[in-house]
Amino acid sequence: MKNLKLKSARAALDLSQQELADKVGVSRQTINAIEKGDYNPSINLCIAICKVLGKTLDDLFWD
Amino acid sequence: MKKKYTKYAVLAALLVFITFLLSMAVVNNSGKPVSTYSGIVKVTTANGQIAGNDLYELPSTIIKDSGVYHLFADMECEDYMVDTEVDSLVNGNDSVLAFEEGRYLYKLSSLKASLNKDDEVTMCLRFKPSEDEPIKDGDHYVEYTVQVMRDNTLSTFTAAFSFGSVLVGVISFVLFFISDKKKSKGFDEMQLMYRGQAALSALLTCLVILLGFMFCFFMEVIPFDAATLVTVIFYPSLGVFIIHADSHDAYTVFKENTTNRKIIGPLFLAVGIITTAMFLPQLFLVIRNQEKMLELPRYIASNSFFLMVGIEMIIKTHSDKKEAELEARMETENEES
Repeated sequence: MKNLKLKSARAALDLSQQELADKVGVSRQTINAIEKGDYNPSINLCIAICKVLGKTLDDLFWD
Repeated sequence: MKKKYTKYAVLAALLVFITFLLSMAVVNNSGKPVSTYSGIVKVTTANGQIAGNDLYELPSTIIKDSGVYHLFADMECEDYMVDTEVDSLVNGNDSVLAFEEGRYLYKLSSLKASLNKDDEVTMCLRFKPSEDEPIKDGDHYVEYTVQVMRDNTLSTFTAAFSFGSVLVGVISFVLFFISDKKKSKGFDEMQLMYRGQAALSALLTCLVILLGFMFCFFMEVIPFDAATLVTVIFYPSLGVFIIHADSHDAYTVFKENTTNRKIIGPLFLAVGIITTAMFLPQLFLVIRNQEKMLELPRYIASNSFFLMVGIEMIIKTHSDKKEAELEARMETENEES
């Protein structure tokens, strides 16, 4: 299932996938896979993404 | 130790155990001559020709175990007037041990053959006058030693492979415990996961091939020799690892560098196409003559490795490019809206 919340939160901050990936210390492909719903990130990565985007875990990863 | 690492450790131990078992099973049967015939034959010449029977047949050897054998022959004629050709007949089918016809030295020659249980090997010595100098009439004596010997390449390669497996296992085990994972920034968590899966797939490929070979070995049908086995294990396993890791963006190098893939992909494909083009005429000859080609699996394994990896990298490069373009277009549309 696609993670559109993450995608829109990233777009709202005008960040590209590569920029977000650099900030959280992963590859662009990993961010892409999370947004496409191909990969379930670890809780540590979820927290890192939330911190960069200024969102909570519920906002981004809870349906 | 965590449960998932225990699984890897068990698989690695199984791999080492199988190679050890295989080497032990083979060592007993290898390197010993199955039969040795030696002696001196008197060859009489008259009017520049071999007088009487020019063919000297040695007793037959019945093969007890299927496998790869070497047929050795060592010839020496004390006055170098007679050339000797060794015909080795397997179940009546003729094949020749080609000797270099030197005036003063007959080189030790051997023929490698894949033989089945109950095959009958008969070696014959065929004499003909030397082409180098006019033959003198009289008696000439040819000393011969002929051997049918089990190929010991299997034990050598299996022992080497076992040693290599143990060495790699020990090094991996030590590295696993001494490495500080927090300092390693080469791969992110998704890449590490896919690389782990790729390594497991490669190990399973390796095990399946080994088990298949072991099954054939115990059924006394040897599909290929040990040198080929090593290649047949190595290339598909490495290919599975590279294709699995690369297709999931886990890369085969230590960091993301798509330029490598752009170069390596076409390069591998070119190597695959060139080697296949070189190999195909040989293959057609083998098929036409209905011969047994021991190196066939080795060629197929190595050629398909280069072809498959090359194709995968080229496809991946194109799909990444399309994905990046799509992403860029969507972001532009978002900005505009």
